[in-house]
Amino acid sequence: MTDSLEIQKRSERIMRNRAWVSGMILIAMYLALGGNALARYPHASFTGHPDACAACHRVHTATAGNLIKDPTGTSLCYSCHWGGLGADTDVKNGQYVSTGENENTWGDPSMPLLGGGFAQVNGTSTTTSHHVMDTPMIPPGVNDYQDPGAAITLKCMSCHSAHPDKGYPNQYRLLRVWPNGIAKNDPREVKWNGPWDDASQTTKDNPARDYRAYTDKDWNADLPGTQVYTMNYGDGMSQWCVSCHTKYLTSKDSSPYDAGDAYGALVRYRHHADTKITNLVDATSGLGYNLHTDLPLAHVTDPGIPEADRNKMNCVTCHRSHGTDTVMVGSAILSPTQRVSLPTDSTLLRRDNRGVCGNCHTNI
Amino acid sequence: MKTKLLGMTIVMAISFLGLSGSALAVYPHGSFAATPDACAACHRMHTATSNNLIADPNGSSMCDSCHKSGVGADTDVATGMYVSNGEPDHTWGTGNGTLLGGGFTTVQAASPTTSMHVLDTALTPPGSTSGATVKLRCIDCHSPHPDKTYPNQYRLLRVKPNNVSTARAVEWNGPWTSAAQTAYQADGNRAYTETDFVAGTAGTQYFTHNYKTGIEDWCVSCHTKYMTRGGEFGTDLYNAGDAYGTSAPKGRFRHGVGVPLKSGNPDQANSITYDLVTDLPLEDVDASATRDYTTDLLTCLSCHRAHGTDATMSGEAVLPTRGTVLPSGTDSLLLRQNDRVMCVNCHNM
Repeated sequence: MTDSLEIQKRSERIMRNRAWVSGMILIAMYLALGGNALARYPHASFTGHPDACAACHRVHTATAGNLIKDPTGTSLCYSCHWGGLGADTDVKNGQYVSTGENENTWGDPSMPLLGGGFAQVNGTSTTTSHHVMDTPMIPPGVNDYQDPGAAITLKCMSCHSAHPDKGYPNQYRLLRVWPNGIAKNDPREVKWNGPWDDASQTTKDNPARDYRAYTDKDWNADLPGTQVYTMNYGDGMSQWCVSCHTKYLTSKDSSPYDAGDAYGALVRYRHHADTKITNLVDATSGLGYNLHTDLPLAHVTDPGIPEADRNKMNCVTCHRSHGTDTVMVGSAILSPTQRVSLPTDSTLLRRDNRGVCGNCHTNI
Repeated sequence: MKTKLLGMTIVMAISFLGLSGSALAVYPHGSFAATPDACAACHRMHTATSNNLIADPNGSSMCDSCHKSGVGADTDVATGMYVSNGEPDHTWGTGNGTLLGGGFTTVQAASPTTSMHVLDTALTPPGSTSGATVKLRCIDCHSPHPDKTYPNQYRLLRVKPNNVSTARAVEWNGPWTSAAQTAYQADGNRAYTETDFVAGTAGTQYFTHNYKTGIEDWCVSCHTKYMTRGGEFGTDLYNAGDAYGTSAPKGRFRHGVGVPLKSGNPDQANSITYDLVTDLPLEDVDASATRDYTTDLLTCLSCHRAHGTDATMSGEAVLPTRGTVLPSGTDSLLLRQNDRVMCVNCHNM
């Protein structure tokens, strides 16, 4: 009996110790991951805080498919991603805000989001163009451009998935793996490189790498050479964008195409994307390029690719994905009649006028 | 960092002021600041209609969008006049003055051209060795951006026109007077316009010394035979399209180009030494900005306008129709002055 009691007490002591240790580990993780952020993050890792399910879902009174509670996907997303109500990434105002996240790890507070914003950029400047939400429009560069049926009504969830795809847990910005209903055998993977520095994804944002996860840094200056670029993602960004802008990775059309400008149906030529900018020889012109830029590049981490070839320009090198506040003057103002679809004149460009051109092609 | 930024800002500001403000904002051929709008004047990144991402399917009309009717550039190459659109016209040329190259439709927006380099039509250049036709566009002669190896190429002339294998450098002397290119020439040596270039009156024109040397080498990229002085040894048999070559090609002789007008021996075949003077444009080889007939060289543009002329021909100066050859096949042959006034401008017999 005495032995049995002793065994029971020992067992209880062990359980208490285990519970204590487990509690300490959880507290340590909680603190390491930014306090209340852990409890609020609604996109994944719900263990211990499944209250986040109810942020978006209603099991018996949902108003949309996937048991979404809000009839408009955009306002549902804004319930966190606007005005510092939840997420640090205020995508409407285009600003990284401080709501309790460890902002100095994931981004610089009060700095523009890399993607800009839908209403403002960095909380003050009004956008001059943005991906228009909740309005049927035809994406520039769509294959069947003149087909009214090709119009798309964009919602946040047209581009972003609310939860990570199990096959692609490291997809950049939760971008949909099959956007715009493209075929299942043609996934559009965009692998996120950071901001962690190690495979366990616990050591974040090595300042020596000089890039952040969500924000521009010193991006207000108008002079080349003063901005800090990002290398957040690897290959695949341009392939992702052409899920809607289908023609924009084709350097030269095989058949005439009416781009909605004054020239009608003609074969069209395009700037290369998904290409390195150093030690490059253009296959068509034979011209050699050895450029540098401050604009964001994709950074391929495949060790089989030579280091010099790992940085590639892509769509979001020149364009913000959400909205921009850049201004266009002179020749940079495109005639409204030349554009029959979104966006408006500033065409989501990162820099005023055609500053993105001069940032690489500095010697012209 | 702040010091660097301040320094760069000051340099940019000085550059901006030095390039006269608004000119910097609109010049589409080079020297772009960090936020240029001018790229979009010619290029489209996703909807270009021709190679090099050119927006307009017709290269000439795209150039016209600035260089015609004063809508953009001060150099209105259609009307052949230097116009005032905000450029510092009294630095780069005389307002409403005649462009040195003339124009494609008129000269000084008044006289209709009587001959011009015909655009967008397949024609055989006079003096062509191959006889192949050339369909000229603006960008066949001019590059829209400076060649990196030849940043001072006169008038952005293509370094390898007509796909020649060797570079044809034509270095521009001015219009600046300093290496910093901030101080400009006074009257008498303008960049783009003639001054008091009264056609038909020898001795009243002002010459230019815009370029050093190489114009004639550049022109023979198409007019390949025109640097060959003589065919007296039967090595240059050629049907020039006139009455003399219909039965069989004849050996042809040509006026010297790339030669001085004084103290030289330009006509080696006849061992005649000349001591001439002229008001016509010469190549200023030593960039002295003063006329020196022992070093300055006669060139194609001494006698011919590059774009088009309003000179009229009469009497013996009227040539028979020369067929489908460039320039337009009309009589005035892009000559700068009526009839053959250029001849007596040097050979003041």
